[in-house]
Amino acid sequence: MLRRRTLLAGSTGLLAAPALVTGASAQAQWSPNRPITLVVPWGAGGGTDATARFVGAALEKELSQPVNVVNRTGGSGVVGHSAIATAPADGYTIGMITVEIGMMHWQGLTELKGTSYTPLALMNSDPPGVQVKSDSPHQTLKALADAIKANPGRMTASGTGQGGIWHLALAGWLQAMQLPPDAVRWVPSNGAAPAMQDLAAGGVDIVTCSVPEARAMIEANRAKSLAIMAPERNPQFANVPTLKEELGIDYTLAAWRGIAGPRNLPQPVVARYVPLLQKIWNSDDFKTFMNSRGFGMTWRDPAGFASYMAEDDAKMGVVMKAVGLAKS
Amino acid sequence: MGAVGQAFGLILDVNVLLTILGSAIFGILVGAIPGLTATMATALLVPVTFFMPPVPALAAIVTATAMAIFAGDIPSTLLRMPGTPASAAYTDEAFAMTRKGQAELALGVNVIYSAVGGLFGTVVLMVAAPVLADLALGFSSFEYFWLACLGLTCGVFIASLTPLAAMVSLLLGLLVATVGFDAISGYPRFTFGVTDLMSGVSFIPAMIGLFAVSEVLRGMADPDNAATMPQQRIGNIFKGLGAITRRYWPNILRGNAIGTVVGALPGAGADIAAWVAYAVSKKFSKEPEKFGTGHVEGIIDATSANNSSLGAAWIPALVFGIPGDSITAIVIGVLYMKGMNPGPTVFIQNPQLIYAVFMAFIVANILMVPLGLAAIRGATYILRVPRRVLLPIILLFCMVGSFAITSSVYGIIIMLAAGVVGWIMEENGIPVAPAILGLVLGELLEQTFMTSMIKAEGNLLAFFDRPLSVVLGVLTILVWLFAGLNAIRTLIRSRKEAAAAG
Amino acid sequence: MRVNEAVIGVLLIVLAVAVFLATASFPRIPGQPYGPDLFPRLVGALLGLAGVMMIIRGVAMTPRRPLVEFPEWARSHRAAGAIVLALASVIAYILVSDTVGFVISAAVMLLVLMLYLRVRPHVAVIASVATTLMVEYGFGSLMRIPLPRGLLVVFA
Repeated sequence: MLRRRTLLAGSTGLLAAPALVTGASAQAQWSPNRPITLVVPWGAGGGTDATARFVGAALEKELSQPVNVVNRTGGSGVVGHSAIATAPADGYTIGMITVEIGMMHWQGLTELKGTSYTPLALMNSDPPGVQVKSDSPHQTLKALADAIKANPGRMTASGTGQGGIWHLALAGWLQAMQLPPDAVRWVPSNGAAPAMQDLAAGGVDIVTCSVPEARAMIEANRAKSLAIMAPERNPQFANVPTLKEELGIDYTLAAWRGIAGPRNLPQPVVARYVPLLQKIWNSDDFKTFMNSRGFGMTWRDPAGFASYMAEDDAKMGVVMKAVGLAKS
Repeated sequence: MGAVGQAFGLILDVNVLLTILGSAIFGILVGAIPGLTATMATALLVPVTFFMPPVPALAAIVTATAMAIFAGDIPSTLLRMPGTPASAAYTDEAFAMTRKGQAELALGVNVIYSAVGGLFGTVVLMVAAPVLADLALGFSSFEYFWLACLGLTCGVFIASLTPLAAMVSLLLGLLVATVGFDAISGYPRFTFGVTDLMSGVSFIPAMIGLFAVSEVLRGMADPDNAATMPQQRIGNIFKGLGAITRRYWPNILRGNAIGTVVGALPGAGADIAAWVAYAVSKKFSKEPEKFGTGHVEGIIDATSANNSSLGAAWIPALVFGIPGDSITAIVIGVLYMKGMNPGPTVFIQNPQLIYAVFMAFIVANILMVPLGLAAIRGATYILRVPRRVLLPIILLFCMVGSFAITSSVYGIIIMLAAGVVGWIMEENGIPVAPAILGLVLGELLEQTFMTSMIKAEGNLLAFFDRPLSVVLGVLTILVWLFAGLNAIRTLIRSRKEAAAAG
Repeated sequence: MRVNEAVIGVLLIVLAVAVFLATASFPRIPGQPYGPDLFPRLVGALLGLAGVMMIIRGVAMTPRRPLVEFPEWARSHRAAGAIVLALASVIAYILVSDTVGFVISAAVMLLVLMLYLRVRPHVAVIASVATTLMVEYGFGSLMRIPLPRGLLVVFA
């Protein structure tokens, strides 16, 4: 039965397609008449995937159209990000873009940057923490900083690949302490999870990933978070001080996630998505979900998201040039 | 044990049992379709589980993944298309059994020992979780590097009749694994400016191509070839089982033990467990010459191992919140959603929920036997479809399965290229299985090698600096030495024979 | 097509040299002693070594095999044609599926291949259409794999 109906819809749709598309965009209120694709540039099982799947399921309810979450992984995010940017700007393909979009172009990996998208909503941001093994000889950030200064180049840190967001977190912190970027040797890893495993096994001394990523090891009593690089403490981890409290250094950074579409999304499409996303962000379900994972809740509307990305982009450029990661 | 009683009540609920049945059928379907993996089955279930209470939500995932890992053996045995990567290690062996007319026996062994393996993994999960997780957490990049070396060595020197050809195949796999972004430096290698290649050569489309497409191509050239042997009905599977269990009980134990250990290691899952178990089985077999010709022994080890690793992968996930494989990575997210934050405390705060999860494992693995047998009966009808009709359909399934992984035709391109390469390799006596092993382990091997080199600042002695790495390193080198001596001995013997003949 | 092991050996050495040439342009990572070229080079070196061993075996093998030999099937035009057609149909699908859509391209591909393999026409038509619709429903609707819609753009 279902099969016959879809066939029928298919054959009439063949003729009606152009009329329908123009009809929809002429209306002030855009509403999708076929499934929507939500592209995730990172793999199934990660934090970005989980967040996107939550937003996708909620959007599906609101729009009464299926929202397919599609993982376009690899290339440190380039593949998925370019899939979002190069999709037709009709509202049927949107995606979850992440902090890497402000970093990759500095390395010459892609031409894409924040301005290659129509920003819809910033949904989350997580600052990095400074994690050490739970039985590390340096039990406070001050002790750790002194040890780094006393033995430059002896300690190792990990968390992402070379030039990844958590490498920049370390480099920016060292720069803020007026130390050279190689005062702590960076050991590249494939993400935060293997880095935390290596930390617990005694393979590296420091991991500068976000606190939610380190949470499992911290709660298992294998690791300890000494500070976070944020303007204020995270209510989820209230006993972890900020960098400013501990060292008086005002250096902050965050990995963020937001929903965006290809550049030049039609105004009615944007007007349809933004209130829905805001409603989802404000919902209790989303709050419960984000709190349960320890993810930071941050909201910016399209204009705010655009300026946030521009600021972030400039800040990344400064650190990446200092470390020698930027191409030019 | 009040918690255990409570757990019984939680699981023996009509709704929960219906959820388990539904997700079992879902898991069998997903697992039996190449390109749809157990990981994908879990990811597809997650939005559904949002709206469920914790016990049915977790039971659904447990059941679907266990079924999917077994069901991957069905197309693997019948069509040489591994339904999930966990079947790849013994695809050739099982397909050889089909060619001998023993498809039902091969599948019967798969379903029974998958279920036994699943139960074994569950028991270990229940008993030894904290101890094993503790051991696994002591592994730094040095230990992982040796472990990867050991896995590759097994694949080349032990699992193959022709070590040189197997080594070539493995090296090609390792080389292909370096295509795309290097996770360490972020530099795109061998991409020739193609954006899709930056994400590397997708492993599952490549596997579908190397195994299934090369088989389709061979079949297209000769569609009337009697590869479809009349299949013997084995009637009551439990009858044959008695004899097999009596004969191969050490294999069953060993396969289960290997699966459990590999599964408990963070980052290594069912697929690697099956490879290692198959190689070990051949090494210690009394009749290693029968391996590769449709011999049931290696299948027993490997099919036990991949299912027992599933339960074991939950050990680090539950105890430390550290995923044992990609499935448990998603499971951890669901655990957080349901307020069962993984960690040592979960056993204290929510013991009834944890016991309910254990029981879901047991119910799922018992249910696997009747459902699996029904699926096998149904699936063997596939072999009665004329090959001229079947071959194009298999090709289409390969394409859709590859597409499903990348959501673009890129997956199909990879599949096609791998299919042609695999076909040429096999025409020239180079086995394809080691290439797949190289693709699977290449990333882990390179990353742990590079991380270790950077940490050690190039000092190779650092690879032997830690107690665990010494053990693993020395073991690996002993295997190398042994394999080298063996190769030299074979060479001398064949020289002598040639001289005697000439 | 079966070639002498020595030929494979030569090809492997060529591949190994190509790896070394290609990795020569890889950048160094600032601040790291080892770059992205180290591991591919190690693999390349081992490939070259394996190539040398293959050449030795191919030359030393008695009786010596011809450089290239064709098996039975390659001498039959029909068999060779089937392989070429199978490859061509996959390539065609890759090229057109995005614009034409999954349903049409898959059904046509199945039909052409089955007819070439001499399946009776009415069986071929029924089998191709039924399979295509089953896959479209199972993968497209149930599993939510975004199969290309192509011409059937409002296919709901």
